[in-house]
Amino acid sequence: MMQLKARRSPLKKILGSSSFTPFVTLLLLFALFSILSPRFSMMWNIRLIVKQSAINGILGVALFLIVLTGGIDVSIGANLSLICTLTGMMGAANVPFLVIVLVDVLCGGIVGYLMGALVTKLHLPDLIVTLAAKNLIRGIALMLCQKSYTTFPEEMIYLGSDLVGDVVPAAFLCFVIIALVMGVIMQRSKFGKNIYAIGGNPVGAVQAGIHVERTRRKLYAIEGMLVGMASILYCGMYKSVLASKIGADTVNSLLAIVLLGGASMSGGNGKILGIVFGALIMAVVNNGMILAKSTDYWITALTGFIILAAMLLQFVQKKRHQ
Amino acid sequence: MAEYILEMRNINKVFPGAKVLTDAGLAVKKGEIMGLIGENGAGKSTLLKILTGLYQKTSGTILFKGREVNFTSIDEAAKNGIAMMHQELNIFPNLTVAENMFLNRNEHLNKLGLIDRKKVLAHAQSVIDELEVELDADTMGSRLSVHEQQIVEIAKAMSMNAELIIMDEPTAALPENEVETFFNFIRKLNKNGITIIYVSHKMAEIEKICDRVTILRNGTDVDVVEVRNTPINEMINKMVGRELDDYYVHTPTVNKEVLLEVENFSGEGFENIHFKLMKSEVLGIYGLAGSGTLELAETLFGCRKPRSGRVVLDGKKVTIRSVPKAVKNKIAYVPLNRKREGFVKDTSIYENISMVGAADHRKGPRVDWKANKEIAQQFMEKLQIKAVDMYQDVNLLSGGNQQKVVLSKWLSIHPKVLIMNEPTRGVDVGAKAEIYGLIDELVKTQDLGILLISSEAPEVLGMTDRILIMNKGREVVTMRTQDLSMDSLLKYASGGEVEQ
Amino acid sequence: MNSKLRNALADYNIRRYFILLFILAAMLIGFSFKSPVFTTISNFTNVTAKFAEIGLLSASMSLVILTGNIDLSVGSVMCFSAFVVGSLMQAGMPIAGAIILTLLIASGIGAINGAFIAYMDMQPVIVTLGTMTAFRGLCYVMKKGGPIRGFPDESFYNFGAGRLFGFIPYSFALLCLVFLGLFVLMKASRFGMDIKAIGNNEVAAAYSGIRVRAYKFLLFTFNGLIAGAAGIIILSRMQGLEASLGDGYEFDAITMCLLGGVSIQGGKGTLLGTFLGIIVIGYLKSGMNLVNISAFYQSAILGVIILLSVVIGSIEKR
Repeated sequence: MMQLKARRSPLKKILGSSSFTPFVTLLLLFALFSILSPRFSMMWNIRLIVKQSAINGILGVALFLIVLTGGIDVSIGANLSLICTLTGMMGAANVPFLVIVLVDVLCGGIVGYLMGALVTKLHLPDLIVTLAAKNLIRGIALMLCQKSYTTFPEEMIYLGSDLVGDVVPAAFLCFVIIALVMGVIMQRSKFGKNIYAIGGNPVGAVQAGIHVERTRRKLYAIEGMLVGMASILYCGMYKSVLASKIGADTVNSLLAIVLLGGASMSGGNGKILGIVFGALIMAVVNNGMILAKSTDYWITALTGFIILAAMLLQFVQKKRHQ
Repeated sequence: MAEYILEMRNINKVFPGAKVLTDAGLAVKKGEIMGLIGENGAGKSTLLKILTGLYQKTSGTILFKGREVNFTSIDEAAKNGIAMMHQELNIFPNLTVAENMFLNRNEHLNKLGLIDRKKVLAHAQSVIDELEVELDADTMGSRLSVHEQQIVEIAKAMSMNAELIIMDEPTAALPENEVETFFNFIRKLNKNGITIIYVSHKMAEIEKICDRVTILRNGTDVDVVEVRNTPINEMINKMVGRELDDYYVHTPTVNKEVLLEVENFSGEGFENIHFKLMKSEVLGIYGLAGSGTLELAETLFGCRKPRSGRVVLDGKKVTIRSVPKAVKNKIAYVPLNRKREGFVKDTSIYENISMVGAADHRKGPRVDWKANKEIAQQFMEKLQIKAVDMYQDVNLLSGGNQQKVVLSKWLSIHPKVLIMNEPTRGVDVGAKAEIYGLIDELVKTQDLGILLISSEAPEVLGMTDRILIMNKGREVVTMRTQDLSMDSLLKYASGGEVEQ
Repeated sequence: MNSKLRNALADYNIRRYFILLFILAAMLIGFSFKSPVFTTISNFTNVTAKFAEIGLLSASMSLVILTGNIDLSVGSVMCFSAFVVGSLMQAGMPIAGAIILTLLIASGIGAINGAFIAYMDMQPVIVTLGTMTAFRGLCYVMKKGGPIRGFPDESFYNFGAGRLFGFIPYSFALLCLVFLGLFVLMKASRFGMDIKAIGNNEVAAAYSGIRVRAYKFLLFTFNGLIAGAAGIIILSRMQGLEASLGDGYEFDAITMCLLGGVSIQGGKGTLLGTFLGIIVIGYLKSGMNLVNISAFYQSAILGVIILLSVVIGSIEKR
């Protein structure tokens, strides 16, 4: 009557992991572009790719947190432009680096928390709240940022642009560290497991005594803090801030990253590791297409088609599962 | 001398617009298995939700282990040793068994506040082993069978060191043949000194597993009885509050004209069903939860697609693969879950009644809304729907009146076959009697046949001409109602041999 | 006190109408102090041409929202359609043929959205974000192929520049016609009841024999069609194209619907409300431009309006 379910072997665990498909996709794309363009696999280009994956990677992790509970946030790009503007203003006023970091992370957290409060306390739909917030925040950012800011503390430029030990871009290292910390929180802490539980079975989460709404508010705050961290790398990497040029269609690329990374939009699935692969895939695609002499005009279109294809794939997998 | 582990006294609970509990009480002795029975709406789940902190009582006292308590969250109740197993299983498909068991708990955290996965896994496995089940604590929730999910819930309650475990219809999702195994677990728990409150509609289970039973009716505990010394019928009578017979009105039909003939009908959840429904007949379809009656009804109505079989309506073969097709063939369905499937919320009574047949009344090419309103008005009067007017939101009505709106919606298209799935669930006693009266009147005065699907044994026995009894998706037997007793009905439905 | 008026004000929709009319009046008076040009008749009618395209998007968007769905792709699809119709005409296709083909393509894009959402049960937000990005990208690609302007047949500009009776822009007349058509459809058939039922309780609607999936599919297809029409009109009016044209139009369209009292959860709202929402936002934007409120403030103000209208809607519901 009852069958013994064999303990899954480590190999099967890896194959069944949600991060496996993104990993394989990354390898295949890498191989493809290496064949198409000999310059692709050169060391300097690989450095460029991982460096370029850092900002959207951190933002992808931020969006993933929201998607994991079945939500959505379309205001991340606007939030990024606001905090970059703040950073630029503080940089111009020669505020010390550490203070800037503190203010950025705090501001991001506050913006995120306020949105979370609107969503969970007034029970408003997250799409509309974040859509409205996007306009509002972008409006504020544009108001504040009338010219481009170009002065930033040295430490910030080092983090954004330099190599650590002449090997790894510091920005990528930051991304990896943040992903690692978030990964440990998600996989090893009570809080992280609660988030997965909310995404997997919201009704059950309430009955298991989880404070669902409080947890979601915290998540929005963490999301905002991550945006704050990404802003620091952004300013350090591009060394020039003009709010109107930042984050206009960020959410599309982030959505592509999250979906490519193995998360499902209905929530509960996906891992931080997968999101890291997702960010690398998008960076490889961007870089590879430019190198392969295809015009970069295709990139936006491709992002959209990737989103649709990923949705289609999830549909097929769900069908097969039934 | 057994002491009381739990005493709930004079519990009152008032919701806006409704008093659900009136001086309800529940006293459970340490180490016993206490049954809790009552009709739908009697207040069982409210009482238990108050105990576990999901609801706050309006007044009354709760003593747990002799100390007055007033929990404000499930968390708090759990910490004090009360665990609840819900009717719907709460397995998280994206977490492992061990993670499911230790979700949101503070055991096995290391110095950094991180979960020690090895310890969690070992602890979970040891609890499962204690139950003498072969189940790997590292299995993902999505891979568990219903039975295994049930075990995980039990293991979770055990791992909390709960002294009192509340089980709300724990066998609802369980296949019939696994119920006995499940009972063995309960007995094992009980032997270890754990007290259990067992809520169920299934009298056979209550009889089998419980020591004593508290009977709730209309928000009050009417009696506490020893199971050993009390016949089931007596418990049912106390639960219902009157003799069963005078509650139902049914005029047996003499019509021999076949209205609907179903042959070799198979689909998801049921296999090879045959039956004939005569004009003016009420054919009962009886089965315990999970026996396939819901699937059969929804497939006949086109919500689900049949796999094979033949359906002949009024002498003509019909193929119904969608709801619009069923409506075209004048097959109507009063669904199981009224709020979800029955009526449209935030919408007026008249629009709900017109929802199916609006376009049947036309003025030239236009829909004649005036005619629709008149029809709605007629049904409101005929079925005595209590409301301010036909523009009132259906969500504001009582369960019984909502059900009458759903019925009006279908009666307005003059159906040939009316399928009713648990038509009196969550309906108060008065409305219940009215609905029974209506069923009787319909078959007497209108040209239709009714399929009455119900898991309430007295209801099918009281309201039908014949009963098709189902078990595990198959037909056990179809018999004339007058030849069936409550005992045999329950026995056949549990898969018992049919005596000739 | 007049009890009839009081009863009318108790109705959610009628209260909305009064509020919107009040806002409109206050706005007109306020702006006319700042800039006397604002209240001239010619400005009145000319402004309608500027918001007619977004208005068209809102008209069909309000139906989509009534069923509890959303379509973020309309701005991109509009821009893409403009590119398509422009390229076709540049390639020498006659106007009628180019328009019909463009409308077909736009409906096809809507149908893709519809198929994903209605028949594969995917979330509308993600699907339409996907098509939004994809077709915006294709606009960039097409822009690369050369400028879209200077069509062989100059009569194409009539759509944008022409005036009915000499003062009503064709595009605004079309907007009114679409609203009138939809209004009649909702009153004279079960269409209106059905889509509200779907928005309020999709499952119960399906159990009442309403073809929920077909409705959703058709509405998204119609949304594509309307976006196509808006694209044709906007090209004709502007006589040239940027690849970023219509960026954020979906947001404006949603704002107009929500301000008009359409509930984002679906099931609640009226066409008249949306129409008033279009007029209010349309004149607000034009007024803000006239008194030189910067685009930054405008975007923030719209954000506040949308937030306020959902917050008020959710409070009223309780």
